[in-house]
Amino acid sequence: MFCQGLVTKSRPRFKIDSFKNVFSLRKIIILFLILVVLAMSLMAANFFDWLQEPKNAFYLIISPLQKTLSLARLKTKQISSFFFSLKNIAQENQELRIQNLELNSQLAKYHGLTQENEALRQALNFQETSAQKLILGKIIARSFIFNHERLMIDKGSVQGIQPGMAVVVPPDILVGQVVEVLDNFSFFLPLTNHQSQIQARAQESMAPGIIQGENARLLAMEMIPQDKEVKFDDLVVTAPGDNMSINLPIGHIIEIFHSDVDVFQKAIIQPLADLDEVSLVGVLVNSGF
Amino acid sequence: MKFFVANMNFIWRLCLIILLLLLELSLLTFLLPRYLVPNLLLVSLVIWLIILSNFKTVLILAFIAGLILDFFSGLAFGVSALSFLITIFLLQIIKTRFFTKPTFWQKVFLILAASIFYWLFTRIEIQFLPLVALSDFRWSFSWIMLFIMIGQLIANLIFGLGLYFLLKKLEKQ
Repeated sequence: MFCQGLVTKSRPRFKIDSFKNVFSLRKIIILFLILVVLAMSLMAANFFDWLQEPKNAFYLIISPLQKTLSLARLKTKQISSFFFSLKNIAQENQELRIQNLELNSQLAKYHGLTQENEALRQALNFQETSAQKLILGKIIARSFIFNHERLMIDKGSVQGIQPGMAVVVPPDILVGQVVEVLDNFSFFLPLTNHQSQIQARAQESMAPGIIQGENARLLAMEMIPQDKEVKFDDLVVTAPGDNMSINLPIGHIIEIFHSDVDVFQKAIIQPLADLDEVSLVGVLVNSGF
Repeated sequence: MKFFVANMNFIWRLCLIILLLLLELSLLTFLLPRYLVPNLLLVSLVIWLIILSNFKTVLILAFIAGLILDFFSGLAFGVSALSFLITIFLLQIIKTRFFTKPTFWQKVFLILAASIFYWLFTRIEIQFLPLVALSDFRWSFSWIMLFIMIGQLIANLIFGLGLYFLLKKLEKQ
């Protein structure tokens, strides 16, 4: 039944072939059941974390090929973006000049605040408590299942990476959180993933909330208390959480949903960094590790 | 050595599976919008199912392809392997019962059915198998996801038919 070549054509051979068919069908069903049981055994092995070593070994074997493909991807992206950007280059240049002026002005204010902060620290005899180092890693794979997105980098627990750590675009713009770590590789959920949840706050208004993926490009800040005033264009940064560094910039508020009947407010965030544009990310690791 | 010579076709297909997966995860997912990234492994298995007469080979390839996909998918290990196995098994039943020599539209049907079966069985496994529940995956339906699924159906179809006609052409030459 399952093998086309065994379908009977003439009456005299019918008995022999149908016997073969049944025999072959039985063999196929047995093979199918064996493979199903094997798949379920592997699920169990995965459940008890027995597959960490084989997984790491597999990634080590295929990583040279992955890196070559990543390089090819970067070259393709560079060439295509060069041609696409030629048209807008003059306008973009003008916008960047204005942005540069704004940033210079902000930098001057920032220097003033840093000096003030330093003076206060000295006055209070504060010590730097949580110095962190940045482990740079290449993004070598990206997978989608339904709306679930994960990215793989070529650094792992050997370098000090642990689940829950912040993944940033250097120097410190948050783009995701580590979810699975092997010896030499790790996986992270981008902020735009629906499953990702990060505690955050608006920098100016100090309104707390939880950052979740809204769609492939934007983030949503949920659970903002009604009594907090949320401002348009306010910078959103991380708040203290498990293994997560604080004050890492995430993005700017571009839309606010406020209703008196709702328990919480919601804001839409435009992320500062776009993962499509980068190939290198950093993981913030405690230097004491 | 004799083993490798005897199983050359199988080994060649295995290498192709790894290459297709890397192509999908390291290149296409970055270059194409996510709703246009085809499931290269699943579609290749369907095409082999249509072309090859030895179903046992396709079944074993489906299992291995699923395992390799599980290395990257973020789902618990074995989920994609089981989904691929059940999908290919059901497609074989449909093929032998209704389309012994599939026409163009029947091939289209098989590719679309494979994509839908794969999503369906993966969803069922995530929902009902307790060993899988600990994965960082949680289901949430949204219109964007539906849009992505329709886009991927079309992408699977385009890639599948392209691959089929390419293999047929190579076979003639």
